[in-house]
Amino acid sequence: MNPLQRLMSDEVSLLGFTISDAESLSLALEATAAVRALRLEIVSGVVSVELLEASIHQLLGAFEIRKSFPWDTQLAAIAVAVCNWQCEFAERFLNQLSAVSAAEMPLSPKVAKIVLRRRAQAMPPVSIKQFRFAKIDGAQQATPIFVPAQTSSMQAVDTRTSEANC
Amino acid sequence: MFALPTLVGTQPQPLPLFTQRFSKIDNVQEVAPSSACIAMFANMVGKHPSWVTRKPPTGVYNCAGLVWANRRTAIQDAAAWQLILSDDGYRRVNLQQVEVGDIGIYSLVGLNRLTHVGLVVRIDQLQQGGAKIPWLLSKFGNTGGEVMHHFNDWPQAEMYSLSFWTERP
Repeated sequence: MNPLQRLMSDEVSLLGFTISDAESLSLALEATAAVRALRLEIVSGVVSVELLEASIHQLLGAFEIRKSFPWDTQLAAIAVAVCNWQCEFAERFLNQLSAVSAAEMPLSPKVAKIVLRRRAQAMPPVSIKQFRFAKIDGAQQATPIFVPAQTSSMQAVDTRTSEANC
Repeated sequence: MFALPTLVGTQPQPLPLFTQRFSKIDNVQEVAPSSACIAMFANMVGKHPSWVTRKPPTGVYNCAGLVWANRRTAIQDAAAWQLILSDDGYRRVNLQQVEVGDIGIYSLVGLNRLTHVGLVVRIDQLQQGGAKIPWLLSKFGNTGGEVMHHFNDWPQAEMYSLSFWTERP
């Protein structure tokens, strides 16, 4: 099934009329069957990047200057659906959508910003892959001490652990 | 991907808007509804035979703009709504205390997130001293119309809880 068909349902469309706040909209979309199904289809590979990108282009074909964009809620739904999808397309889609500042699309860019914030919170902490080993005078046993090779504000992390988490 | 809205989209226009305590309220005037939005609104209204449409789909304001900005602009952020409730001296009332002119606020069940506000414009009572049945005047979204509706006659009602608020002493 084309992912757009489910997103065009009343379940999603009505939220654009009954919810004005982006944070609330993102939470309500999260709970819809349409968004959960799209997320599953993305994970299982039924919906590919190409199909999703084509669907977004199809939606954007309805954009008119100084007229409300009719698929603002649907774009917000896609943003919520790709929240946990770690790929170049999802990152690009969310970043570009969140950068839009147009009265025609009042909610989806805000939802994209919220999703980006959630992604950032869900990501593992900063990991540093370059280390130098400090030499300790008089040390009997070689105990590695990791010292960050870059700025002091960065946190030293054992790369073996952080890579295992990726 | 979003070159068109980025390059030619209309820049959001806010109005100077403040609470009674001079806290600034973020707002933006909405653009006119597209034909697809008008059709979606008509589809929704068609599923609620008891609704009374006061005004066809329009831009400029949303539900909060109807209640708190005299239909001049849209107040989209629920945090701004909370600020207005606090700065303008609103308090919660129960169903039996509701009067015309009070407001009803819908929230997502279990999440306490404000989603919609409407103005109480009529109160029915089946008998003297009986349970009050408020009717709200609501503006739907950024591009819907204005509708008068029974407080429980709301799309996807199971998702929302409703509370009533007043600024009366």
